[in-house]
Amino acid sequence: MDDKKKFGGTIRFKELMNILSGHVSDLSELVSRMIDNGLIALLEDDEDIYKTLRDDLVLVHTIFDALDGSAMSSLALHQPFASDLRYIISSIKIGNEIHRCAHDAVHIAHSSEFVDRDKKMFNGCIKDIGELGKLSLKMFQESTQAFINKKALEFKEWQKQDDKVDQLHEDIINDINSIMEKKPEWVRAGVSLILATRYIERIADHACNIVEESSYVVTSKRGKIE
Amino acid sequence: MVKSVSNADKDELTDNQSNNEQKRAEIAIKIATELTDAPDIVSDELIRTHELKMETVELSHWYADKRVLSGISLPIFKNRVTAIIGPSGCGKSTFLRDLNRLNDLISISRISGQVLLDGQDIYDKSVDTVQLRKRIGMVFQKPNPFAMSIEKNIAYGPYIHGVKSDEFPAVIESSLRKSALWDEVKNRLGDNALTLSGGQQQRLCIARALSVEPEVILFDEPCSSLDPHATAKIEDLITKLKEEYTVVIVTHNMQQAARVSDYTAFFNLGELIEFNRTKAIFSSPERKMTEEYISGRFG
Repeated sequence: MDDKKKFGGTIRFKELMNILSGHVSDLSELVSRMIDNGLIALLEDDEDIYKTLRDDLVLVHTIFDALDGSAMSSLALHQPFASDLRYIISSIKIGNEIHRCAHDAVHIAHSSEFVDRDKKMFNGCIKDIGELGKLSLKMFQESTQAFINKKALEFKEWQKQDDKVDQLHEDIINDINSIMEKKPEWVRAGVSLILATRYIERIADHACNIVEESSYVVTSKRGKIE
Repeated sequence: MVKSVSNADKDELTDNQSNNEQKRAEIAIKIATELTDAPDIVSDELIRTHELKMETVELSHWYADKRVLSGISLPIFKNRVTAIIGPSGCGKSTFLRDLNRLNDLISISRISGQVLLDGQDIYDKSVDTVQLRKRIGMVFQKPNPFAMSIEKNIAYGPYIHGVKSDEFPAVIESSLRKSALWDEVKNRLGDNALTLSGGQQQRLCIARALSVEPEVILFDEPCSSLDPHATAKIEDLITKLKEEYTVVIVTHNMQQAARVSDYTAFFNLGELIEFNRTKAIFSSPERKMTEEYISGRFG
């Protein structure tokens, strides 16, 4: 979209909105990397990445606060209307969704702690969790890009992607449960992986929420990915 | 992306982490810079570190026996837009006109206190009011171009101040460009200024104020007679003007004060109730009266 046409109003308002948009973009990019790294930490049992993610989380909070401040200024000082107003309201909501994904990424990385790699615990399941992670990360990236570029995505297509994630999530949990029944001493690791899977599935849910908000900004109609 | 780890992958991961750190640092610096450039509130530190162009010190104003301003002390920062808001009769226009001694023309008017321009009291006996008003220009509520050509409207001020006529074309073009009117009138400079639209006339008045190279521009309700489109043009113009000039604007329109100003002063019954960064005034005012006024509960 032509940058000049992206937002209406006065020069000052456009400047403020570009700052707000920049915060959404920075937050999305940072959290996308965090999810990626969280998955690597889980799959490869890398404790250093977990520490890095804790640092990233501090920056996420800083950007989130800045985003909140820009949105507040835009509303308080410029009384925006129509798509500009919807963009600001949705930015706050999406900021919250992305912020939660950042916490999910840290939890995912932390879930590796109880999985003993020497015993090759849940190796097959971990591979499937990796696949689930790929899908969720892709959905997260596409959803945030849609919002940044003010695009409305096709809900039916997203419904299919979400269903696929839900099915894979369910299959993984069933597999982990089956293994835990046979090996009760692996229960702690199993529960940890179930939680990790849940966090990953939630990232896909957040992505769906972001797509719904993007669509609202563009079309002014509220829709739901069921 | 999720993948099995080889040595190459580990190298890539190390590179990614290094890039992440760099990116983290960039974002942190960007946000820190934003916060430093625009502190949320006016503090003693801000007043100490930001250059003042003007300042009123305990300024009071009387019309005959009636006191209309009471001990107003207000900093006006250089190259910033300061808005004065408040209900009708609160003294905001009187205050504005005190800033370039326009009230001197009213016989029953008198003041106490000081109005400082670059640290010098403009009410000092040695001050030449004609020279003062050259340094502190004013744009009024209703566009008031002279009933003469567009170019003569601009050239009039420089002519009075002794600028040679061969310099007029450059002054005219420069002033009209700065007021964002040049492209609209460059082919009709000889036309009568009264043939322009209201918004164009107001920008012509701004160009006329700029033609004598002022340092401060005072705007008294500059958009009250304009439609929203012309208003937006004037507001954008004010935003650009502050790069070169210090601007003070009086407005009844609180939304306009919020849109264009960096600092806002709220007056009521001749008193300065609150002065702060515009963002702070409109999102979290400190005084209950300010909160009630800006949220439409009184005034």
